[in-house]
Amino acid sequence: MSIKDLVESSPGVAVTRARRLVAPPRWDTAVAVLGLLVVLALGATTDNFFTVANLRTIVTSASIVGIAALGATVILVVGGMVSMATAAAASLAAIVFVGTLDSSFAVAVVTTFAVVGGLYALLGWLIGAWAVNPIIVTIAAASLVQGLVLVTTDGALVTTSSSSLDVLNRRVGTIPVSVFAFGVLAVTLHLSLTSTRWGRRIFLVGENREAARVAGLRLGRVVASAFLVAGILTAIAGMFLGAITTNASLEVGGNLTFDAVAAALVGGASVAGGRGSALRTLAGALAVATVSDLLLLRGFDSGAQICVKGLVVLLAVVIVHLRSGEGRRA
Amino acid sequence: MNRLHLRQDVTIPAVVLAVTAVAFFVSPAISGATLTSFSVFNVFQQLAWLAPLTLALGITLMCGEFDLSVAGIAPLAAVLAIRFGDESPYVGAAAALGVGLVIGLVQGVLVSRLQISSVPVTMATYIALTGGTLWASGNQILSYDNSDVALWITKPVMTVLSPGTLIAGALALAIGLAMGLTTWGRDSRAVGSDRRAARASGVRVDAVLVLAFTSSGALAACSGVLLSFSTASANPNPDIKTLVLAVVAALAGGATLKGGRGRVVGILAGALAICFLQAIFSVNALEDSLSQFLFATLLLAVAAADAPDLARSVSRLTSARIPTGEPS
Amino acid sequence: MTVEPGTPAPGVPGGGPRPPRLDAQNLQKSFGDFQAVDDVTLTLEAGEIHGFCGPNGAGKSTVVKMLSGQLAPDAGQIAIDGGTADLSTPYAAQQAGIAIVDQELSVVPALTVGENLALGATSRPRGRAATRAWRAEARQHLADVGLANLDLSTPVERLTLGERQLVEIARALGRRASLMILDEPTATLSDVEIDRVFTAIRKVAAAGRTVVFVSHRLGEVLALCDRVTVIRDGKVIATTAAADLTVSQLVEQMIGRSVAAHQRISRDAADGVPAIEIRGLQVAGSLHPFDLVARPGTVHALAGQVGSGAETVIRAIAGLEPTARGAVAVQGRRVRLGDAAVSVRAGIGYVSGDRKTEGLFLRRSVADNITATRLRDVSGRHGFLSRRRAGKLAAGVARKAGVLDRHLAAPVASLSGGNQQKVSIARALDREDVRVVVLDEPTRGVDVAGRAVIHDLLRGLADDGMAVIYSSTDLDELVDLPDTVITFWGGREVGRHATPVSSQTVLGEITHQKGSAS
Repeated sequence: MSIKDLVESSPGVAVTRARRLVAPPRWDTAVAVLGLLVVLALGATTDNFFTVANLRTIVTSASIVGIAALGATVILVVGGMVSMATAAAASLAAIVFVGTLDSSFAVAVVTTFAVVGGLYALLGWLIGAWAVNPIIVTIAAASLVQGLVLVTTDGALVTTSSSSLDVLNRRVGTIPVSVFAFGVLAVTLHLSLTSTRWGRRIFLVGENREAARVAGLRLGRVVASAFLVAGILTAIAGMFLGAITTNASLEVGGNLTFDAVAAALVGGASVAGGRGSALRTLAGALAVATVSDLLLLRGFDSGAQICVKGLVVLLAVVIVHLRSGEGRRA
Repeated sequence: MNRLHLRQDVTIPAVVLAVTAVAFFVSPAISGATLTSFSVFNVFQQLAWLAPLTLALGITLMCGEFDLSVAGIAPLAAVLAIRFGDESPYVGAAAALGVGLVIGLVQGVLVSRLQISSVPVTMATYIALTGGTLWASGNQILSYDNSDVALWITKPVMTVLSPGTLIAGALALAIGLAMGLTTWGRDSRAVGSDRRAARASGVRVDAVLVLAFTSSGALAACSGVLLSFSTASANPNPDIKTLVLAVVAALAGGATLKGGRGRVVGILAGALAICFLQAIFSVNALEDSLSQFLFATLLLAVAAADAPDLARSVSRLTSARIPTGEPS
Repeated sequence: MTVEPGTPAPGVPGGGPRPPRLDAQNLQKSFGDFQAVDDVTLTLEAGEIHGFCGPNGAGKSTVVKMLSGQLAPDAGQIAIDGGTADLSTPYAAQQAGIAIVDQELSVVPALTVGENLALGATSRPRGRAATRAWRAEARQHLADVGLANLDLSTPVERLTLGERQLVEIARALGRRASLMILDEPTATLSDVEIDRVFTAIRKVAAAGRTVVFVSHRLGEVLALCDRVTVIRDGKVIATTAAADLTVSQLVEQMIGRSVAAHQRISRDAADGVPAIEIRGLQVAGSLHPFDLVARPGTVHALAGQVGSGAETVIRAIAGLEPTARGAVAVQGRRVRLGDAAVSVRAGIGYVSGDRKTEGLFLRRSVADNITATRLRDVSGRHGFLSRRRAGKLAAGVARKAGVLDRHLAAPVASLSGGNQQKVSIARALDREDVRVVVLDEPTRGVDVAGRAVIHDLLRGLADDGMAVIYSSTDLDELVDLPDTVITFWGGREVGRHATPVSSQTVLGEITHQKGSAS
């Protein structure tokens, strides 16, 4: 007796068609492999692409954006869509960090985490408990942070005389510390999301808010905790950025908002929530950095690089959407 | 029985506009600043580019969608208008408008055909457009050599208006008429309020969405063109403040994030109110960061007030009322 | 164009062979593993009122959705007036002359009554005269359904459910469609309103247009219709002239057996502390004060149509009605209302009637769904989930609920409706402290075999000492299963009966057919 017979002989049990709807053939994998092949082929025909120095450049440039992208991943998974405040929050982190560094390194780190993490946790609570529109509320937060910083610093650069900033710029061998930080944070976040109670709650709330409510989960707390983690990750990215420039201003965050989301979306996280992985975001950050590097080496300016990045994100979004089968007409 | 039904998409903008206008005209008396007709002229100059941008957002908000890409289309259009406007401003404007139209169309088709959320799609477009804008501008602020255009478009008409404001007004009028005289406005609000019911009622939901995004792209492009022609320059770097202003204006104009509400007249009033509010800061020589504070706080407040579950927690606290009359 | 030899319906002038208004041949539709419509062939003549009946889940609504362009059939053809019709979208169906009053309300809340009446039309009246004519006509259609006093500029969100339903019927009248489909149009209406709607429908048929009337209310069907088609388990059982049918024959066709009086052993209501005590439970706008004391081991059914208040009681107990007021105590301990997390912790297990949006996490495995409410119990000291504990817990719960072990790793979306519901119920109960189980439509979307299993499960829970309370619109479920049936209409309780009670009594009360005072 085959398994199929067994299944069909038990009443009310489903298999077959419905199962296939849930897990369709993985053509998206084929697209990813094809994309990889195209990049490799272009790389092979580009001078200086396959050199140790260039690969190090790619990994380094992926690392800081990647740390912020891990934060973006948590927000996407919990159903908070996108934080439009990433760049502003990273700038704020850099400013607070550099500004308090004169007292001590530890105090500076704790203060930065408390300020940025606290801000994000508050946003998360609003989004979780009241279902405030995440895009709008984070745009407002970004603008508020900008105004606040302008008032307090009067637009001046924040600098420090402390040398402990160099800790973040140090290299282990030839590899910058930020690369190791990215790797460790990605693995830690991956474990937290997949095998802890906290991570499970994040996924459940993100997949189906109403079902999570009915299951007795505290929406405000769960989403706030997700945003707290995202805020701390964004703060870490901002601290690294501040360390590179050795002084801090509102400009430090740069294009981080969209770079971070781009890496997470290319890594397969879904704006619909409940879908995403820290390790795939790591791959997404590397992929985006590789494509940008390739364009740079082939002589395209930064505008073209950003443009291609946007198109890659669009492609990723469409593929993830088609693969999940969400929103298809019933 | 002929009751008057007050609607939030008419009352909110009317109240907001009245309050800001009064504040604009009264505040100089308090601060001691002088109010000239030039101050009023400036308000309408702002409106010339803010109104189309707000309408662009408002039309998609009506349909229950959010078009982030308007913040990318406007600067691109500004750059293109100058790049292609060497020979004639019409060519520049046409190029900018065409690009905005096509980008909107593509996004509309993607969102409606694939039934995909508009946020990631328009965000990806936005990223691509910021790159495209940098590329097209050569990463620098462009200035427009044809200064006659700037002079013409900002020439005072009837003291406080200008050709630029009149063009923006004509655009809004055209959209307003198109929405009011055809089924467009009604269908848009139906799609935003209850998409399933609208589809079941025979509304061509896909067509409505494509039209919304296409007009949103075109209007955002108009906003960019009007701004670059009136200042004779184009800044390729998008500014989050612009987006904040447009979103606040659309929401003050009676559109909501849940969709299904908003009228062209209201949205226009919302944009004008925001221009008045901004002018209060410049007329009274207040700090620019103060205005940023104000708008960010306003946006925060509006977003919170619009949140579905806020009503839930508030009603939990205030549910002391006994049900009266027939339950609905 | 092929001309099918159609039999003209009685009363159609002209006679002679001509194509039927609508000819649907061998329609089929399945959802996942569930064959909703197996083989349905339906012929509708011009000028007839055609009744369409069947038990819950028989496939009526699926057929209606296929005829109105909301679903594409897997197989089969539909011809209108002898020609093939494009019914690919609701818009196309409307162009083909089909108007529908959906079971799900399809008026748009943010629009006014006038806008809703015009919704779906592709153009607006031009000029003052045309507008005035259109408004007059719209008012006429509203008057036909008894809404003569309703202003066209009233936003629909201010109307009651019944009024919204009537607006939707008025819209269908205004479509001048050659085929008008009414899917359960009378569920939320009162007797007077129903009479008016019937008069309007007869007028439509007299004008040579065809009406399909889908309803559970068999007396109405026989009074109104020319012919009646009964469908069961996705197949057509019979199409009979209404004049040749009685209500009991119709019921027999629907259930497949003759109705015998149900005999069941009445249980003693156990003494002791009530499992749940409800005093003055009310929800502004949808529920008038309601009291109930349920002891362990009892089953209470709350019977009522959509909007009657029955479902509201369940949702309020579960903490999902933020405006709920009143006193609810579980085993003597007061429960704060309006917060689902509080209700869960108080020992109330809730099973949603809407598994897709608030019941289950469809993409997640059965095991993940079962452990979702008990994450604390399946994780270790540092907050790490224990695979072993989760597996053990999930397996235990699944066994109790009769879900097979090997489905534990499968996504819930791949299970049948019945198995999904078993998972929901099992999950809601598997906390040691659960004393009360509240369910909203426990067998919605579940097939016949699954229903029996779920009914046994509920009975078993009561035998284990829990209090079971559920809301339902399904007559069989209301008279067979519970100890007490409480009927609702218009937001308040209208009757309370110890079983056995006749289904006629229950039906009469929940449709408000005897007496009109409330």
